[in-house]
Amino acid sequence: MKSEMTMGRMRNKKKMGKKMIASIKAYLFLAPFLLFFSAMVIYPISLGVKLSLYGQRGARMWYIGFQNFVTIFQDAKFWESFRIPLFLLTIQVPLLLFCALLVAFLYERMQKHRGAFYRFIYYLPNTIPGIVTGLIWSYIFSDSMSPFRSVIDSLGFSGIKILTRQHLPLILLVIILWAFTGYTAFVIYSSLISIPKEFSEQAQLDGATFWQIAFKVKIPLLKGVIITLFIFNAIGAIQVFNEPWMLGALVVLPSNYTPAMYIYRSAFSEGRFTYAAAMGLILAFITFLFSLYILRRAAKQMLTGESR
Amino acid sequence: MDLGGFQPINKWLDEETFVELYGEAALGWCAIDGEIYGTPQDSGAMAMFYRKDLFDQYGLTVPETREEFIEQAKKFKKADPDLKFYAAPIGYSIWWLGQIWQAGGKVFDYYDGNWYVDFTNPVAEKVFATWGEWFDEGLIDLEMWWNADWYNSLNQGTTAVVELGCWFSEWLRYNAPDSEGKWRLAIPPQWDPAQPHNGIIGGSGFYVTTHSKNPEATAIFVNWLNSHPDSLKCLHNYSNLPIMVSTRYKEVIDEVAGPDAFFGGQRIADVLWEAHQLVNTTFVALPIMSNVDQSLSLLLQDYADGKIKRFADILSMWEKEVINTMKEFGYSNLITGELP
Repeated sequence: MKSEMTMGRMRNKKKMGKKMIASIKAYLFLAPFLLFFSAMVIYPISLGVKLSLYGQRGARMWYIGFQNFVTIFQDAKFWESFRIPLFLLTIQVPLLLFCALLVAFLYERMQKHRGAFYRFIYYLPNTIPGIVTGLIWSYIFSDSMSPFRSVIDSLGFSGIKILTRQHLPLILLVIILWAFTGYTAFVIYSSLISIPKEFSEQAQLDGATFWQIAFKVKIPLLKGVIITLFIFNAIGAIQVFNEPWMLGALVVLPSNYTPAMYIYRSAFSEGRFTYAAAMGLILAFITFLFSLYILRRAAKQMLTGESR
Repeated sequence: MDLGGFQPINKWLDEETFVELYGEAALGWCAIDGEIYGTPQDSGAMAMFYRKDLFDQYGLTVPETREEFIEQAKKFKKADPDLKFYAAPIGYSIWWLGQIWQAGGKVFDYYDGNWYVDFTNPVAEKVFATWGEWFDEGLIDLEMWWNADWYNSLNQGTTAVVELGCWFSEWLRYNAPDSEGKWRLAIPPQWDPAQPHNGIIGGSGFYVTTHSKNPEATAIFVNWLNSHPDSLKCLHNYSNLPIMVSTRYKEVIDEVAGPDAFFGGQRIADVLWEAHQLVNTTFVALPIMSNVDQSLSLLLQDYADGKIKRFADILSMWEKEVINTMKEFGYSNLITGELP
């Protein structure tokens, strides 16, 4: 009996030893990523958290606990800056997903090489850094140098300025759609081609058209991808900075045009680093809450939808 | 200076020597409450940059007073309504402050422990009201500066006159190469020829920070850098800044300044030096200048969009926002409605 127990214990020890070796190996593989992640993400965030607990004036900083956050909750400028992200969330993101879906279905219908060519060129805008995109688009929309100016003038609209603050949300829409539709369509397309052909063949036999199949059969199956893409785009919308910033060189924008711009300005133009750090944390938290909400709702829907 | 980033260097550079080397006006840029924190380097004294080719083409003369200035504007507009005689910036508050400065006024200052804010004083009101008239009559345009659109118009000759600090001669050289040889410089037209003034837009200074481990050496260096003729010569030659603030710059000005090809052979240093000497008033800038700039930019954009009817109304709106921001940033030593 004693020998059985010791045998059992030895077996357990061996199992544990194997487990330990396995986890050590895992961590070794992860080490490079963890190193960079902690240096580039965790450390700055913790520094930001520390900064946000201080008050500041010029070179002087002193501990004030959560006072910054209290002030921010009462700062109308910060909350007003969410107007543009809200516009993007409610209009641009659904529009982008819709266009990307259409494009993805078109990709599916195309022949291999043609499809690959279009997928390639539509993806290109996504490879250009946001700041360069904003810069070039600001030239395109500028009233003195736009190549479209002559076209617009000849159509009789010579008095109307293209780049004004009122038009800016529309201009942002155009730029963001141009930059991200290709990438989004590509991601959807990859999921699309993994849907078993039997579903669409069955529906075809039942007499459905291509677009009916697309909307009634395939999209429900793509729910997971669409939700993920929605969250990515939503995060981008809430934290939008590059495009409005570059356009701000050609038309005066208030410092709180978007939350990210307000945070940037507070830190680097007004020197209120601790205040900006606190705002940054709040923005990150809002983004997190929003993503969580979407994921929860989607999970619920998927669970209730799974009632076949 | 107010934010505690600099330390005083009076020990190594007393006020008397400072004034002797840099002029009394410079105290407004480098000192508060008698404590000197640094030395000024290049001057942003305003100059009028005009296109001689356009002036010759339309028979304009170089204006010396603001009245002559607007007469030339009218002549130009009649001759060619598509070109701009002059464009004022939407935003860029230091230009507007420079305009008020050039008229001999100011809108804020610091004195004896208190910040003073008064935007609606007679000089400022006169300047803004006059510019407002010119905008309303369509003689002068409003546009955003420092972007590709603006450089384009300078390069292609669709704008005839620009008023900016002397350092702009370098900016023009690099950003409007197609217009080489066509620009000239002059003293900005005066509001009152009997009492000439000039303002400053930009310029730079070197200050000793509180982090400095060897403030004595830094102070001595900063003083040498901006006042010793050898250093001034280097500064001009390597940075191409045309005019330095130091009074000792006149010792080297003949050596470093010759006819300038970009300006058609004009000896710009002479004109700019004279422009700098005309800066005979000064004031201390508020510690919230980026907010001052933001407030004005938005108001000017509103005016350009037609939301504000009277240009001079901008002054009181601007003042209200500046006062609010000062209070928001915790400055309780604020006196409004008067200036020292």
